[in-house]
Amino acid sequence: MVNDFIDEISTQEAILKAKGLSVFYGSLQAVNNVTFNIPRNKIIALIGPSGCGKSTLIRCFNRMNDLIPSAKVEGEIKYNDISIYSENSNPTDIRFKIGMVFQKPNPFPKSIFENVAFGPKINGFAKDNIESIVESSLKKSALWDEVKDRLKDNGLTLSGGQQQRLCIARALAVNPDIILMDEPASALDPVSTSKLEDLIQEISSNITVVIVTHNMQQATRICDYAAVMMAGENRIGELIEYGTNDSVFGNPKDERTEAYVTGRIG
Amino acid sequence: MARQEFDNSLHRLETEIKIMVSQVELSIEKAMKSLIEQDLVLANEVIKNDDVIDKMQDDLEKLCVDLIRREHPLAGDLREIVACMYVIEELERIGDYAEGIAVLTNRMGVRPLPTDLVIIPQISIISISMLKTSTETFLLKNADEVKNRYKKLQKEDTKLDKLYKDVQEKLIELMKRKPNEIERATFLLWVAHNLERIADRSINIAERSMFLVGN
Repeated sequence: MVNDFIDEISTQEAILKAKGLSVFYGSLQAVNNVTFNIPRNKIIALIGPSGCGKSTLIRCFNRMNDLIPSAKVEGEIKYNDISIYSENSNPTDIRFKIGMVFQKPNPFPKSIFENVAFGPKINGFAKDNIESIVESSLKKSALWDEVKDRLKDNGLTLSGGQQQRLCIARALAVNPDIILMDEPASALDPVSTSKLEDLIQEISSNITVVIVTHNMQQATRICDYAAVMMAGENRIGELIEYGTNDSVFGNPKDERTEAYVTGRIG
Repeated sequence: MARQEFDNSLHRLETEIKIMVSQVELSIEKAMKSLIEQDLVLANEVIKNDDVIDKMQDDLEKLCVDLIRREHPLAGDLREIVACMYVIEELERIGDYAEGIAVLTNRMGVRPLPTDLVIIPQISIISISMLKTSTETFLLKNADEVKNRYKKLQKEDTKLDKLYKDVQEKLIELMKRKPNEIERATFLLWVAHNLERIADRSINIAERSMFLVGN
């Protein structure tokens, strides 16, 4: 069944391709044999009950699992036809092009300006351009008007919603192709969440966004495609359905997806 | 099982729709009986009962809106509530057609009818049967069965349309022969029209059943 959806979506240009992806933590398998393509400049929601491997999967896309010593990844992930787990791939380079925003905002304990300038500086961007990069990144993340007069203030003095948008500005500053978001709005109030959702839709005109969310209404509001993961009795997560927003949230093909999106399991 | 309260509310919605269906069917049957037997007391009862059907529509629509507001339904749940809202509206309109037949019965009075009513009761039997089939189908939620019954209803509708045409021709002929009965013959045409519309609305309900099962 999953293959049918891949066929439907594979007519579009894919920026990320996962093939036969399995993830292990030591002897425990967390994700089994995930194969799907992520189309360029679209918003893809990764949904499923707690413990089904969503965060594990999303963390594979920019090799964040490398930071966990026991983690082992099998299969292949291609970013623009570059195999990101090949020996030649540099995880740091990959993370510049595939940024990540976490559940809890995690600005550096530095000024707002330095938070955004950090990536371009260590990536060797020309010094003359840094100020304009900071400004344009803060504008893209819809934070500029709120912070333009206090760029020297510590990033941690901002509200939770502002801090999350600062983290997105920080990710945008290095001109990524993809931003991965792991429950980015779960700690935010409704207004901040709404601003964040607007921002995600805005940046998706030229950036691919993969977002893990437990909020079905949020996923319905913003995503183009939804990938549904589910763990069976063996507690190993699998991709059970992948399709358009309309299909997954309107008329899912898999009974488990229907039960999950209608809140009867999970 | 999670969402027990929501499931209970959906079950209540279904039960209330069943009650509304039985009220509407009863209204059509009584309206036709009042016409055939020229029973104006019964006709007035049908007219009065339409307020009860209207109130049911209001209450059920409020329940649907409340469920959408509280439960944020998705997938099959959302389709079910949206389909129910459509069906409730169709049932209310069908109730209006029954009321319309009762009003026409009143306007025709107790003088002997200008013609026998052979075809019109035939049409009413088909219309009521179509309404029963479509509402049963709606509550069935079985995709294959819904498709089968929808096809069957379409065939019934074609049969009914032919009878409706026969009634039109017969009544126009009557008007030509008895110009002093033009008014009451026109009323009978409207009765036939209302019955034909009930059948059409029943088809609409079957279409909502197709939507409900994802077709």
